[in-house]
Amino acid sequence: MKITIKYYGASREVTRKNHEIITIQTKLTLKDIISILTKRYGKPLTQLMLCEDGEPSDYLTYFIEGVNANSLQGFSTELRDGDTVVIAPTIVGG
Amino acid sequence: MKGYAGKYLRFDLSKEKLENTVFDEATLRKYLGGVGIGSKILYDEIPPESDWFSPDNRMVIASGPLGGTAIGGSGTITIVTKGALTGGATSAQANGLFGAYLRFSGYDGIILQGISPSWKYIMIKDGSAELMDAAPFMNLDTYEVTDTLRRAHGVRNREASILSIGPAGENLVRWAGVFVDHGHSASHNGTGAVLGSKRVKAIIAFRGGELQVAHPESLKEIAQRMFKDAEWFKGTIGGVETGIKSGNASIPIMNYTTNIWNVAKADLDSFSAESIREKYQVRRDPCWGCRLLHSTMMNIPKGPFAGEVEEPEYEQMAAWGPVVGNKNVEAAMMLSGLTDRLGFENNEAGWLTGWLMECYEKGLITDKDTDGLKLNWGNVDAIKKLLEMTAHRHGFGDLLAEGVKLASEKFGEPAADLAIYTMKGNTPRGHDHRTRWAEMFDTCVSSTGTIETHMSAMSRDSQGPANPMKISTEVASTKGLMEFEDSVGTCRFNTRMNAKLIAEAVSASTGWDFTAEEGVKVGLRAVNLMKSYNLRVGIGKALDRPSKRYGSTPIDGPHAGVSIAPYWEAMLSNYYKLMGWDPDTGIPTKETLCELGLDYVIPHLH
Repeated sequence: MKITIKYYGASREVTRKNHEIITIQTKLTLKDIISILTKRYGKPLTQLMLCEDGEPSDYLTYFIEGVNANSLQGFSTELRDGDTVVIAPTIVGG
Repeated sequence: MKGYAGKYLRFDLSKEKLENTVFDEATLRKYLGGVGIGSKILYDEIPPESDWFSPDNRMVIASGPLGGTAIGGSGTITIVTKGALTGGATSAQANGLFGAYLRFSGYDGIILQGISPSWKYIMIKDGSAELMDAAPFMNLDTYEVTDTLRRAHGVRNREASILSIGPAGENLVRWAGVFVDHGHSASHNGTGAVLGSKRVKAIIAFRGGELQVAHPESLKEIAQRMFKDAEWFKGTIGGVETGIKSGNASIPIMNYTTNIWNVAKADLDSFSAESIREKYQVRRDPCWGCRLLHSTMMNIPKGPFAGEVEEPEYEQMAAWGPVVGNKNVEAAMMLSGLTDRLGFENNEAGWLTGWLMECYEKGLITDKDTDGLKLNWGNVDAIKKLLEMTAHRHGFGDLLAEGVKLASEKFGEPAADLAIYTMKGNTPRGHDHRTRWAEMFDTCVSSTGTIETHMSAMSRDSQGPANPMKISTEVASTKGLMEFEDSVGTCRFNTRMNAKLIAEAVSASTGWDFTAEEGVKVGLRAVNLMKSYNLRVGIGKALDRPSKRYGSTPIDGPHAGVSIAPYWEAMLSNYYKLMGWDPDTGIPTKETLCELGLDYVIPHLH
């Protein structure tokens, strides 16, 4: 299963990538993907993505196929083959 | 000089006299435009003792060196004036086309002073400007005056942009705003009341003319890089739904009486961006040069709330949804449109209505006070009538036109204790800041009474509710960035406070070798000038705090019992010190003012 990850803002700076494709063998949730990425990129991305208790932080917003993950099943949302996950700074104000 | 139209249009409305104000290159590099230039004019020209409605007050409407260029969203204007709610500094921004067209017409900005003997509108076309009789356009709402002026001048498509006030501004409602075209607003701190006090109903700017920039190809390339960094953005309209579902308790509910919104899933789902766009979006109406999915026109086709409305932002949906206990998305959209049309600042409208509804529920305000309006939570018809009464200062609306702080003070305790406002006199933005301490702290310490720096520029754990000293430190260390961005004539959703890219763009536009550090210093100049102005007005440390309810402790939800109050004094001292201000009084030190090249301010403060 191939999942495209697109990085914006701070996550782009940390990973130094605009996007990448990750290949996974089993069905995974958004939280699992975050876990894969934090292991891959280590402390800087972990600090960005996770709170001190290890739970995903509100600092970033995740869009799966253009839909805010909070409108789906949040971090429990299962990803499907070909999905694009956008990782962007959370919007404030507006 | 490249990157600038070259002059500001100055209208002395009392004398009906027009002249050009030209800033030399050194001054422009030091202040850029927008809030940079605006705060200098505020400080230099408006006597501290004068009232907001005095002929001495100025209204600066300014673009900046990126206005009307290839940078996305560069039709933005900044308005700087002495505000009607706080009596102090104001800086507010509106997107749209106006800033770009102003520059194409040969002006980097407009400075209004004096008071016109009769109602006027200003026409800017082909490099000149004139005052026109506004009598045929009075009492029109902001959509109507825009459409009527377009017809009167034979404007087709996007040939002109119109800035206006609605009935609220005409009637000097203290929380009236200034609006651009349909639904873009620069409305904090009573900008519309100030324009109304000058008897200016509207300004129409035509598109003609050209702008010379130093390196157009380079600017296009930077614009593309900015777009690539912002293309994920799809507006803020769905923020209520995603915010509630995220469970972080930052959505404001029923005037801060709870952090748990008791709403059915179907109703909450109807507030999602996807649902709203699918059902109501009819066409795009982008700001200058913007390719993002934002600023569309929406239409509610039938039912009690039928009509067209410019895409509401998150804060409008929050104000007319959870803040007032309304769960009907179409009603929230209709009220957003009505707020814009009547010419109100949306957050103040929501906090005022939420406060009234809580007081009504508790019997602190009754039918006798409200001229019979039943202000139960979520009573949309009553809200509609309330807004109309207030815009025209009819009956109960005359008191509400004074804004949350003054209106609640007139009711006295215990009703006054329930009102959400900053002690400076205006109201915060549309979140529950008791869970976003960085934003509450910044709102209260800012000179404008709204945010002066931006949480997204801070690190993850410095937003709250925790780490009070880190929050105080980061509010100070990120200061100046937003004001830099608000000095160049662009939209934050496009430039995303990327100081390095914005500085590159300023260099490409002007031909200077401009750096991000230089840009942040421009921002800090604006912050210090507005602070110094406020101090001279009498707005000091005692007013750098929230009202009782605004600074209260959540009683439920994930942050129940967690309060910022015990840390406030220490946070203030730390913030003042890091800003280069006296830790006890908040007065900028001589060294800080010298460092920013503001030596001339020193004798006024020391």
